Amino acid sequence: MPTSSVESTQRPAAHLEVRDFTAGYGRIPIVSSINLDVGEGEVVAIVGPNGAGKSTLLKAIVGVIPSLGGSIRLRGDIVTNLSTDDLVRRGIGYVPQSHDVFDTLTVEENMRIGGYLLAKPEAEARMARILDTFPTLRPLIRRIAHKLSGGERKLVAIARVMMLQPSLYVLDEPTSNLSVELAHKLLTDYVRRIASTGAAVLLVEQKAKAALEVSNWAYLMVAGAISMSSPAAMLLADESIAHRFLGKVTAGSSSAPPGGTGPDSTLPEAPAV
Amino acid sequence: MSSAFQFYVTTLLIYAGVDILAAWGLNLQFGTAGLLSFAFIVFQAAGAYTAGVLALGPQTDNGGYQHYIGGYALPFPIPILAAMAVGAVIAVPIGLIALRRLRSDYQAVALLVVSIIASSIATNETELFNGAAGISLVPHPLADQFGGDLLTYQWFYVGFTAAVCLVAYLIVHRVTHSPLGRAFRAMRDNEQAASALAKDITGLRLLAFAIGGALGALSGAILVLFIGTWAPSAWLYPETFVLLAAIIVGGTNNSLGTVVGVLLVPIGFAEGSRFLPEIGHPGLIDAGQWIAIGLMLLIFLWFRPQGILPERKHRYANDGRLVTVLDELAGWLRRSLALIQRSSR
Amino acid sequence: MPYLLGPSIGFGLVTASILALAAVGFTMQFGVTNILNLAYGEVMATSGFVALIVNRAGLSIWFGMAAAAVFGAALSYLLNRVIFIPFARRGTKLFGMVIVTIAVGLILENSILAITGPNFFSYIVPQESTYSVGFLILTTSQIVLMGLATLAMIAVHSLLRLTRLGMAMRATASDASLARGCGIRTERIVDAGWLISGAMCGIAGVALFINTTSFTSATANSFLVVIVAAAILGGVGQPYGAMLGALVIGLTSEIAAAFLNPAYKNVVAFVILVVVLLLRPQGILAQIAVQREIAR
Ligand SMILES: Nc1ncnc2c1ncn2[C@@H]1O[C@H](COP(=O)(O)OP(=O)(O)OP(=O)(O)O)[C@@H](O)[C@H]1O
Ligand SMILES: [Mg+2]
Repeated sequence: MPTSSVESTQRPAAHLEVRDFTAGYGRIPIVSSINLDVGEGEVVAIVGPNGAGKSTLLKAIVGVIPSLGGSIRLRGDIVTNLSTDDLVRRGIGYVPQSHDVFDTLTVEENMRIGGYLLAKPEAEARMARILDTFPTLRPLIRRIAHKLSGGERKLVAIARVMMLQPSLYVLDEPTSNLSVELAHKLLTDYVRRIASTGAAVLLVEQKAKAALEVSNWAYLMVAGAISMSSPAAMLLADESIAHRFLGKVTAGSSSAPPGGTGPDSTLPEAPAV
Repeated sequence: MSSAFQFYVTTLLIYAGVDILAAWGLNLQFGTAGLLSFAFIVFQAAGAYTAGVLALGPQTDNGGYQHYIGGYALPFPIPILAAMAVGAVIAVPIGLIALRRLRSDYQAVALLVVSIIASSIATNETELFNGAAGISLVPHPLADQFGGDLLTYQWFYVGFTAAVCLVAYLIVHRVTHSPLGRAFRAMRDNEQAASALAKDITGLRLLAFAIGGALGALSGAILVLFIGTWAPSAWLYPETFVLLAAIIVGGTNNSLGTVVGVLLVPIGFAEGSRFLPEIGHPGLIDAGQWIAIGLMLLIFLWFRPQGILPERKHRYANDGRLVTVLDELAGWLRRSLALIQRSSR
Repeated sequence: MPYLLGPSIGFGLVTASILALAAVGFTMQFGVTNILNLAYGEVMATSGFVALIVNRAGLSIWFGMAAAAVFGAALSYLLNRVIFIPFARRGTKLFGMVIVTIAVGLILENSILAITGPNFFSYIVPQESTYSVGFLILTTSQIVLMGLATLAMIAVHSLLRLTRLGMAMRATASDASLARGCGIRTERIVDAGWLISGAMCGIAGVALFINTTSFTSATANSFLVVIVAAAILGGVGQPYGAMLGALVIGLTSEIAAAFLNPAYKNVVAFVILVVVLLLRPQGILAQIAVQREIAR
């Protein structure tokens, strides 16, 4: 499938540039020849069916798995194959799809570790501010993380990453397990707000419609390759594309909700948050 | 050949046979079924004690200088068969303690502890098997048929050990090439898939443990009836490690590889150098052997973890299709389980 | 029978102290790196013999202990860097790693044996006086050992709870990959873990040898299983669990030795362990038994 892109739309200066990038597990490539940009202050969504390689791509970008070829630039500096901790020190904040909190530690400890690179008073101040943003976390602060509900876990994971105020958020399905309202709020409110402070967001989402609504740009990923790159609004508007790539065609693997029905119908029951 | 040399050779051959039997038993547990059986030497010990006290006459013999249970002076081959039965039976409690769903390294440690407890009990409960001194003067089976011709008897025992090895090989071959063997390997390679195929994974583990245990006990019985003595110092837990080293060096889950490993590791230096003159302080040669075994293991695990003779992949020339299907099934199950796990997170 | 109970509680507390020093170090190695290091007993032994050299050179055994701590730390660090990490990178799995550590242990123990021969050694310890503390009667060195263990436990607690390094260690122990995602250089944290636990291992080796009065190259190894028992009892990887496990096993084994057969001192410990493995395989304090990968 040839990559179709819309050249007319002007994009901001690139914060993250991924070029001709290949990655996988062991020596077997799962994603290959990936070209992808995230501009300053942009929210960029990657959507695609289960198993397309979205998580694999994110893991390789943040250095959890080694790359097999190609390059990554962060604000112009080549950062290909830097280790995760180096990338974090350069301003990337990553929330994995699973294993996203320190299971054996409390919520408070999770957040403190999130602020590991900060001086203590600074960390305390940010923690207080983040708890104001997510008041639902306050009563849970002494709870061991593996005793949290799925939605609470995700919030802790996001809160932890916010501690360092990264300049690029890499979020792998941040709304999975969140209640409808919270998912909506997270995407429309927090994600947009993060972007408005000048930070960039790279987002993988199953709730394609909701994600596209808050994104500036979108990439459609199918079978390990980017098969479409366009403004998010355009992908959202194109019923047939949304239908084909996010719905019926890949019905074999339980897939994202089709564009037409909206996200709500397939959301899990709201956890108590 | 001088008769001294013949004694040397026959003794070595019998030790080799005993170690091969034991290593096959351990290989069935470790190589085929993937159980890190650090208590293996306990099976050998159980076999040796059982055969010993059944072959010995009553405690009061020889002035009653040793204490042990049993003492029925049972004729050959009953002590050997009983030893095998005991080896298989004690596998059950040992397996139930150690083989429940623990991490593989926990299992190893739990079994190590079992080995040490067993040895400590045998040492301290002197009424059982004469404590630290161990049992001795175990009669040689059928020795009266040879009318005191010790050399001929040595050769006879070599032949007997070889015959037992042959039978054991046929049994091991039969087991590993049966559906049961396949289930063992499936369990070793992927426990989740195996538990989907054969529901009772604990039963499968216990079975592997019992068959291997019977072989280990057999080796102990043959050894004790030959050397006539058996004491706790003969089965300290590092002995298991020697057999493990033989298996890893020779080739895990390859019966022939195990033979090669035994000839190299325990026979090559542990037994072989018993006949060397002592140099330096007492224990120096021993220490050197252990260092060499440790180094050899590290070297093999690094450069050739599959061993000298690797596990054969195409072992079913005539029904190879069946295995592929099974492997595919296991792979498919693995993938779908991973998918289910991921989506349930 | 208080005339038996008193001394056995005293012995129990001393054993528990030594055990706590050893088991906390052992469990820390497991917690931070996920390796069950069965060469731990031999690192104790080699460190103990380093202290013997220092002691024989005319210095106090407490200097010897300091030297052993440094040596234990260095040796543990090197073992991890030179042997364990390369094997882990090569894909050696959990139980493959157990075999590697045993091989290393065999090499260490028998290297000592080759040098020292199967002889008994003892440290030169200054003239002991005895003190009666309540119903306990203790010697100087026993009191020092108990004090030392208490201090070490407080130090470990402060390290883990109050320092940045401790926080990073707990994060690495919990999930190394996620810890890197918080900017923690886990490789250095793992190094620090081996250095600290190695130092404890060295101190524990000397403590054990002081307490047994005469020792051989094999003394520490026979103690290893008791250490492992204490660590597993508390839930491997849990420093507080190891302290509790040490106390339980130290006391019960000495009391059992006094009232039953002294030879069964360790068997009682193992029986407790077997019961724990049967009833609660993850140990008494463990929150969850996690299947993790070897951290580097
Ligand atoms: N650790 C791993 N080792 C080997 N293969 C893996 C591993 N993780 C994922 N894969 C495989 O890589 C492919 C892509 O997986 P990935 O997790 O990137 O998909 P995804 O697009 O994120 O899917 P989802 O929407 O379900 O999260 C899948 O076929 C998966 O089975
Ligand atoms: Mg994914």
